[in-house]
Amino acid sequence: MSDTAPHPHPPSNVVEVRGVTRRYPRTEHAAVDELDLDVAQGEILCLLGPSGCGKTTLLRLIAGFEMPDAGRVRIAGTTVADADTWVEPERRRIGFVFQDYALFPHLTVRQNVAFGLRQGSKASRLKQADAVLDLVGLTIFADRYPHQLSGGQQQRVALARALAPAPAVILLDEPFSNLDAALRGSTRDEVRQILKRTGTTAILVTHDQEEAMTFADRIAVMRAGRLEQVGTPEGVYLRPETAFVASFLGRTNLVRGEGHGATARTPLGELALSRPVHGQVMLSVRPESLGFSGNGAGVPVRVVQREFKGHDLTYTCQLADGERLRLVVQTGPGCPVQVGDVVPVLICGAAVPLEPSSTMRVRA
Amino acid sequence: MLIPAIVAGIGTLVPIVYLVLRAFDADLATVQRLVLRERTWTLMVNTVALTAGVMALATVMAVPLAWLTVRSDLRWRRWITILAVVPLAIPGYVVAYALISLGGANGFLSQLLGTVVPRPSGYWGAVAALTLYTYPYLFLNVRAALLGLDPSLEESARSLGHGGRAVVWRVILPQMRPALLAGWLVIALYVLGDFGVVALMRFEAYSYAIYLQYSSAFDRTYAAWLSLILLALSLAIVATEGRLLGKRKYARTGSGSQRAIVVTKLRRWSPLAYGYVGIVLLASLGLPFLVLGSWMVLAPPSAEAWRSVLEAFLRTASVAVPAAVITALAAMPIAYLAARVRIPGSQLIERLAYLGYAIPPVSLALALVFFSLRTVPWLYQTMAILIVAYVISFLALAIGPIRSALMQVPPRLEEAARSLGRRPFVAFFQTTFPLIRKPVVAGTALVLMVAMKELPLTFLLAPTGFTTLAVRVFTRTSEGMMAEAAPFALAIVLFSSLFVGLLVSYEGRR
Repeated sequence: MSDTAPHPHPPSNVVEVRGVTRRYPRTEHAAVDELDLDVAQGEILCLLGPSGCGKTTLLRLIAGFEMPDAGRVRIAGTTVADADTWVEPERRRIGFVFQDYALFPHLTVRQNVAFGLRQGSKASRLKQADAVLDLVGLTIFADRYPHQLSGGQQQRVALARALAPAPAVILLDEPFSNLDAALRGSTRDEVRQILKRTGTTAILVTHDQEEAMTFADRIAVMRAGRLEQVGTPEGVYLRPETAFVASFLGRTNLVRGEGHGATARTPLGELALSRPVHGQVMLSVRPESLGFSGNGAGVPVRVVQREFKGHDLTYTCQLADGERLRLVVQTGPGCPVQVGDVVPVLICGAAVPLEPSSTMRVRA
Repeated sequence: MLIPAIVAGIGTLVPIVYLVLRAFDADLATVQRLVLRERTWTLMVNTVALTAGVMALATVMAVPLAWLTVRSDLRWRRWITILAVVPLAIPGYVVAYALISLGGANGFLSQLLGTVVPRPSGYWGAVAALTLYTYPYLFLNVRAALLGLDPSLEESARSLGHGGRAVVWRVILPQMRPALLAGWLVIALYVLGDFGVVALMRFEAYSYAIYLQYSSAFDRTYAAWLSLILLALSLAIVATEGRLLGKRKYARTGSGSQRAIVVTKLRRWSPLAYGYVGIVLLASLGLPFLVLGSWMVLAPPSAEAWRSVLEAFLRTASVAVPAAVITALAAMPIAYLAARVRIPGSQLIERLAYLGYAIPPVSLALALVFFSLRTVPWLYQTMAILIVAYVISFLALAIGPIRSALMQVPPRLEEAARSLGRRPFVAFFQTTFPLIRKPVVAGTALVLMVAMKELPLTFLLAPTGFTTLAVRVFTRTSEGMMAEAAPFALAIVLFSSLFVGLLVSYEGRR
C-alpha cells in the first residue's frame, strides 16, 4: 500500500533519503550503504564520485527503478519507499533525464514532450508541450524525430520531456557525458538556467568535478556507497574534510604534519591551519596556494617536470633536502623556472587539516 | 508477464514427462526384451547414417556455393543467393514427391528416355531429398561467416609466410567452424525430425519406424521407447554442438573498421563455377517446379480438384493462423524475460522453448498423445491439441527475431515512460512494442508458413478426417497417385515461396 496522505508538516526538503542501503547479489560491498541525503526545494544538488561509487544506483533508488534493501525515501513529503511502502516510479512525481536521453524514436519531438502530460484534451496537452519546447528553445524542431536532431538538441528535448509534467524533482544521470567538450559547457549553462527559471529541484549525477562545481548549489561527494562530504562547491573545494575529497576535486598536495593549535610543523616548514588541530595530521595544500618565492624565503625544491597549459603552468617538484615528498605547484603562464632548477617554495593561505580516519588515495 | 512465460516453458516439459512415464509403464523384463534387440540397433545405424550422409552432401552443395556468392567474381551473385534460399519454402515431402515422380514405369525420365529408370527410394533417395531442402541452412550460415571474415587476417597470414592453401586451413576454416557447426546442427535436427521424406522413400529411420510401430502394433510401449531414443539422439547432437563450439570467441579483437571483401577472379574456372551453380539450383529448385509444372500440363486438375485444394488450404489455415498468433503471443513474454529480466530461471524458460524446437515432431506428437490420453482425454484428437503441438514446436522460431530486436531497444525507454507516469504494461506497449513490431510480425509470419506445410504433427494429432494440404500430398504420394498430389503440392510451394519473398522484402524495408 502506498502512503499518499500528505505529510502533516509542510516539507522543507523535497527529497529525503534516510539509511538507504542497496546490495547487489554476489558483491562484497553494498552499492549504497546506509546513506542519508536531503535536497531542499529549488536546490540543484550534484552527486559527485568516481565510477562505481553507487551514485547512479542512488539516483535510481530515488526514482524507483531500484528497490532499497533498507532505509526510507521521501519525495515531496510522501514516503515512497521504506520497509512496508513501495510507490512505483510512475507515481513518484519525478522527472528522469537519462545518460543516453532515451527519447522515443517512433515519436516526434512534440509527442515525446507531451508523453508525460495526462491532463486535459489532446490539443491542450500539445499546447503545453509547445510551451515547454519554447522554454528550451526548440519550438522549430517540434515536428522532427529525435534522430534528426544533434546531441545537444536531443539533450534539451529529454529535459523538456522530463520538465513537462512539472515533477517535484528532476533526476539527471550524467546528462552531459554524451556531448562533446565544446557543446558541454554551453548546454550545461542553458540547462542550469532553465532549472533555475522554473524553480525546479534537481539531483544530477556526475563524475566530472568541474561540471559539479559549475552546476551545483551543493555537492555531495560519494565514495563506496557512502557520502564523504556535502557542501557548497566552494566549501568542499576549499575545506575538504578527507584526503579523498581533497584529491577528487582537483589536484592537491597531501602533506604530513604535527599540529599544535593554529599551526603545524611540516617538511614545508611551519604552516598556518584553517582550523586548530593537535597531533599527527594530514594536510591538504592546493597547488595554486603554493608559489616560487623570489627573495629566497621558503623551502628549496628541485623541479622535475613542467607542464605548460596555456592559462597556467604546473610544476612537479621534489624537496631538495632529500625528503621524499613530491609537490605540485601551479603558477601563472609566464614563470621562468625550468626543469632541474632548485627554487624555494612558499605557501600563501592556510593548509586544510583532513580527517585522520579517511583512507589515503592521491590522484596522479 | 511471468506467468505466461512459465506456462509456455513448462508446456514443453510436461509432454516429455508423459512420454517417459509411458515408456516405463511396462515391467523391466518387457522393456529389456523390447528395447535391447537388433531392430533398435539397426534403426540407430540407419538414422545416424542418414544424418551423416545428408550433412556431408549438404556441405558439398552449400560451402562452394557460399564461397562463390561471397568471394568470387561470378555474375548474378545476388540472384543466385536468393534462389539458393528459396528451397527453404519447399517441404521435404514435396522434394521426395518430385524425385519419386521422376522414376518408375510412368515417371518422367522413362517417358523422356524411353527406358524405365527405377524410382529413387531407400537410403540414397532419402539422402537426396533431405539434402535438397536442408542445404540452404548451411549455405546461409557459411555465407554470413564468409561475409564477416576479416580480410586483414588472411593478409597477416600471408605476411607471416603462409601460402594460399595454408591460409585456407589455418585461418579461414577455423573461423568457419561456428558457422559450419550451427548449420550442421540445424540440418541434423531436421533429418532426425523428418517424417515425410523417410516415409515416402520407405527408409527405416527412427521417425518412420515410430510411426509404423504406433499405427500398426497393439503395444505402444516400443513406440514410446523409440521416441525417447530419438529424443535423446537429438539432445545429444545439440549438446555435442555446444561442446564443440565451446566458449571461444571468434569476433574481431582489434578496433578499426573492417575493410571490403577481396573478390577472387575465376578466369578459366568460371564455366565450371556456372555449371556447378546451375546443377545445384536445378536440382534443388528446378526439379520440384519442373515436375509440378509438368503434371499441370500432362494431367490438368479438374475444377473439382481445385475446389478440394481450396478447401484443404482453408482447413490448413484454420489451424495454422491461430497457432501462429498464439505462438507469437507466448514468444513475446519469453523473449522479454530472457533479454531483460535478470532473475534466476529467466534464461531457463527460453532454453525450454528451444528444447521444443529440438524435439523430433514424431516424438512430440506421441508425447502429446500419451499426455492427452492420460490427463485430458477430451483433448485427444482435437484441433486444440494440434495447435498446442505447433506452439511447442515453433515457439523458438518466433522467439529468435523478437529477442534480437529487444536486445537493440534500450530498457531506458520503458523507464523513461514510467518516470512520465505510465504503468509497466502500458509503458511496454507505448515504447518498446512499436520498435519490435516488425520482428513480431515477421516471427508470426514465419510460424504461419512453417505451420502451413507441417506434416508429422498434423498427421499424428489431427482429428480423424481433418486433412491439411501437407497430409493430402503425403497420402496421395504414398498411394502412388502422383498426378492427384500435384495441385496440393503446388499450392504449398507457391504459398511458401510467396511468404519467403514477402519476409525477405519486409525485413529489407526499414
